[in-house]
Amino acid sequence: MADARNFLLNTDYPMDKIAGYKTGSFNITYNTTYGWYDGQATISHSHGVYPLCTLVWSFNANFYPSYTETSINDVNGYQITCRSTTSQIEVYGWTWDGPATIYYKIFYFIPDNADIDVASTQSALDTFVINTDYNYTKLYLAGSYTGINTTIDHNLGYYPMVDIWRLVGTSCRRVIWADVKPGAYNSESLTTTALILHDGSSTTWYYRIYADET
Amino acid sequence: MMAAQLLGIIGFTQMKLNNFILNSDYGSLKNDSDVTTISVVLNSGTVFTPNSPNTVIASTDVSAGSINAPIRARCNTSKYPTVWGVGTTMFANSLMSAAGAPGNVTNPIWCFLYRVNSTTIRLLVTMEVVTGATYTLQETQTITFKFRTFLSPLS
Repeated sequence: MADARNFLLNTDYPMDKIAGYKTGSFNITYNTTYGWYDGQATISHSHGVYPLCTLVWSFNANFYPSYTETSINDVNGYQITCRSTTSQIEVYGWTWDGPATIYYKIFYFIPDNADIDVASTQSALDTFVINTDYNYTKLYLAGSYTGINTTIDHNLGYYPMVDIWRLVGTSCRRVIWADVKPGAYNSESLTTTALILHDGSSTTWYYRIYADET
Repeated sequence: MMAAQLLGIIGFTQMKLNNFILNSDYGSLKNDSDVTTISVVLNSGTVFTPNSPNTVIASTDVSAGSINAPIRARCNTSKYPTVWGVGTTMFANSLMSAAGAPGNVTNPIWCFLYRVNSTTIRLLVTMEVVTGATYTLQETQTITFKFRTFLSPLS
């Protein structure tokens, strides 16, 4: 097999297929019960599986600057997270700092083991899904694992790009925070041959390893 | 619609999303840049006096992409050179001395990758420290992120 990285599009590997988009905004307001500020947007879906969401958010409607998920210790002091269940997607925010309006954009994949129908997200003939001016993602390996530790061999010989989601209880969230210290719990790390998942207790991970990265 | 019609013509009866390598009924991720590298060096001997618990100790920008699109990233510190983390925020640690305190301490550093505007991505490094003290980094390490940004679907 020729090196997938040499192709804009390679039918040996699935493309990322976007199963849904969500955009909107919500307000973070003072919570009189806890003394902090919080708020959330809740979006229903009917897929019956955990959508694998990617979140972009901003304080501004033009999305400059914009962030992926953030923690309270993050760059701006606002913890904004996106979590999915089998029936809804929640964008949740809290902070000690003050009220704010949060603008969000979400797209999501469906887990690779989901044997379900999904409504089309594209219909207009003039919105091209494939355009050979651009390089497309090439999904090399995808799956899920439930347990405490595991090693997923990819044997690509280089460090690929990876997306990972964790299922905690009944909420599924994209992994954004990486702890690279040896032996760290709650960590997902890469070598040139494997993806290493490590936690202190049983966890379900959904992972997607891409062949077109270096 | 087009894929559904085509499948109808050739006799398929199902539309299970994961059965397709490509399916034009669904949006796809178009890479908006080649894999881009951004890195910053924390030099041994650097002295700083923080004024907040999360003090910025390094920041650098790189031009990548053309719209306010999402990022997929992995990250590394030269302190642990063979392992890359997954995500846009990295925890690591750094050895430093604190004026007036015996020995060295190891404090966590946080590294954040985020979009500043349509064409600029920033790597910001902060450190959790006690304010009011003076610290000196005791080791040199290079923080590196490699990332993709996408033209679709949220442009």
